[in-house]
Amino acid sequence: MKHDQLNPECATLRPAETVMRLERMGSFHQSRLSFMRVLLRRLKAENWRFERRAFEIDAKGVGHAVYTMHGPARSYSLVAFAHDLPPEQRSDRVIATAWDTTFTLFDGLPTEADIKRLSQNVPLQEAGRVTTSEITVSRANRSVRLFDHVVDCLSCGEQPLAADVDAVGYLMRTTAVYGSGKLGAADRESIADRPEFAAPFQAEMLTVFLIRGFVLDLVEHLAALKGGAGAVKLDPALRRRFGIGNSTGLGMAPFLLNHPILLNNWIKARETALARVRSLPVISAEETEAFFTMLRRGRRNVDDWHSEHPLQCDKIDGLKADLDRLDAHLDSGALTAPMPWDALYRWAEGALSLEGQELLVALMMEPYGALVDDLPCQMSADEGAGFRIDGCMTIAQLRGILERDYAWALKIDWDNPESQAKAWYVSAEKLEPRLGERHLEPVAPYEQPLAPGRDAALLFEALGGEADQTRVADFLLRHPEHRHILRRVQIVARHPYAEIRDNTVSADILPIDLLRAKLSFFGACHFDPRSDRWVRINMFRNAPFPHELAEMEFAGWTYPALVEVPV
Amino acid sequence: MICSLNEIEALARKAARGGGMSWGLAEEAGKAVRWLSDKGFPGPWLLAELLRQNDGKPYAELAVQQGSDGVLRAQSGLLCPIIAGALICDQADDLKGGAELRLGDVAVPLLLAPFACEAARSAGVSVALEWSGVTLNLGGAAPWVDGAEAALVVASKGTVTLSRTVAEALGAQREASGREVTRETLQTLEAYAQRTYAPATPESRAGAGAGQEGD
Repeated sequence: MKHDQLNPECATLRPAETVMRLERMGSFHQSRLSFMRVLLRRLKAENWRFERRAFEIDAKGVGHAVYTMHGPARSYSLVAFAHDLPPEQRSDRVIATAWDTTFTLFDGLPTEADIKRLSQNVPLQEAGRVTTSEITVSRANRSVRLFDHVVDCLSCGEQPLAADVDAVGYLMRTTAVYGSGKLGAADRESIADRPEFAAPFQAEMLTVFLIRGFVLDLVEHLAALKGGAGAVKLDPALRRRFGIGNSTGLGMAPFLLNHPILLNNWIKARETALARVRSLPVISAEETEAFFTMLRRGRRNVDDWHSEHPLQCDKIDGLKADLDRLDAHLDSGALTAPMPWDALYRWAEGALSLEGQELLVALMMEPYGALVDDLPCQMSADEGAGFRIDGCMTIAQLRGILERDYAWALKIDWDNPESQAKAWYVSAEKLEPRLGERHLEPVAPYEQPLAPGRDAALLFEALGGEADQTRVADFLLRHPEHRHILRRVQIVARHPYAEIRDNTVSADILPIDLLRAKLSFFGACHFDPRSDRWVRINMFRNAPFPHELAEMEFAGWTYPALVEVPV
Repeated sequence: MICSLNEIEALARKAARGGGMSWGLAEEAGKAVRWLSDKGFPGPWLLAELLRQNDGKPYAELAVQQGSDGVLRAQSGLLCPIIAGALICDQADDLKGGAELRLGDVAVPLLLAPFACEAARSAGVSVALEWSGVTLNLGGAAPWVDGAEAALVVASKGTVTLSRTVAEALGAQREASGREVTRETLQTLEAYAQRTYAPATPESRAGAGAGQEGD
């Protein structure tokens, strides 16, 4: 069934009050709509061709490589620089100054002169400059635990143990992937009209996908140089169990708050996909089988998910119990009811934890590519389109919007110190976003506008003395301090999923919830919070490699057991 | 240095905030400087000049008021083009009526252009900004300058008029690279941006991101 045949009355979206809560957003899972999966579907469907144009790395692991994907209209090249980094300089902090490898995604095919220019800038990262010919800039560090071990194994003619591979999951982890004009690179707006960049973060995902290919080639190359004729390459199936690690810290946490229309479009696409599936009157045998396959694979993925963080451990335990309950419910014939997906979802709302509910939401989309795969191209956003303030709006109208969309914020007692225990600010030392203790540190004067709930409540209070028919243009002339939040409130009035309906400066805020929500849309798995404010993830684990795209079927690759995928 | 438009907008926003604007007005400044740079005008330099002029002045002094002669002026001193520009945008619908808007003693008047252009687009009309014999026609695909270019980039001007025009502005894309920012301008804006950064504390350093442990 196609989505235009669905009865739109049945396809009701979950309300923002339900979805846009931090606890739920911190339980999101990857899905068909995730940006890594969107990328690989396109590369496959359009028959993109991979070419390794250069690989000049010496025995110390120093040199450069060029990995190119040729698409229907354009080519993109990852230019990789490998360095000999002393161990004491290896740090995942965004503030580091040296890395094992540095990368840029070049728009087209780089010339010798380009490579020379890039070799003088990309290894410096923030201290270098790139041009509009470059789309992303990135860097990655080795996993000390695994990288040398795998080189040693392969050089001796042995495969590493799968358990050792799974325990870490990657040979290198990126510590930043910059796009959107950072360091002089091409502005997002200048490439946004290309079909391959229609969905969000496609250039960044392509960068990481090619980095993974390079890193696996690098480890085999170093093993061959070390072991000579006795060295072996990784077994292809074992090789695919390596992803690229990523550390994401506080610096990324404000992203969803700073891109309200983008956030709205991500959530709206996901909610639309869920609503379309829930509105299906019946399920075919093939769809049922596809769902059960992905459920089994999803279960394996949860079994492989390890974290030492107490909160996440509890959530994983809860998720395992959820999956047991779900199995039992399905065994009792749950999918034979009328409107089976809607019934299943309603059951889950009462029976499963938020982790379980959100995993089910993602799994329910799996059999329905034809129904939902059109949605990712609606997930990008022109934030500029929401920038202009409607100055003709009256104070009465503005009050009405606040009472409707910010009721949650108006209920909070903002005079309670706990309600404003934190403040987001940027530190002079490292120019990175930080979350400070408002009542203990001198950070309040430097606060970033990342507490929309509090600011909406302040705006509502300021409107108290205003006449109903006053235009907001006149109000803003007298109250420029409310201009930021008023713009935001008008955006939220048009885009209900644009606002996170929780207090982002409360004493118990968990920044990892913001990180998890964002990274789940990227397609990340195995969220491993290392504190309440930074998280490690794995990207492209189980995915095919660039040279395998053409001959391999890999639908649903994110979850393990590739051999089970129906062709 | 050649900067991306995103870098220019981000720096301009931070600098404007550091220069004392509210976050909402600082966002307007960022967007305005980006627009100017994209159109081949020296946006960052213009903002640096404005921030120098306005440094330390409270909003009460800069706020716009309409005099008995109908001219918009600051409470005292020069009129801030970001504050006045935001007002022009907020009242964009008034442009449909065709009334001419006169602004008195404007600081860095070229900074009004992005706002006038956005207001014109929003109202579905074409407009012209005029001062000292130079006219900037806005509302079409690219701005069109009629008169001496040199008069555009001035630090202040007596009276600026904003009026609706019949002709659509059909300017050519300008040759000059507005994305080329001099070291001096960058340093000026970064110094203002620096004021938005909090001194680091031991508490803030701890736990912000990944270290080396657990490798």
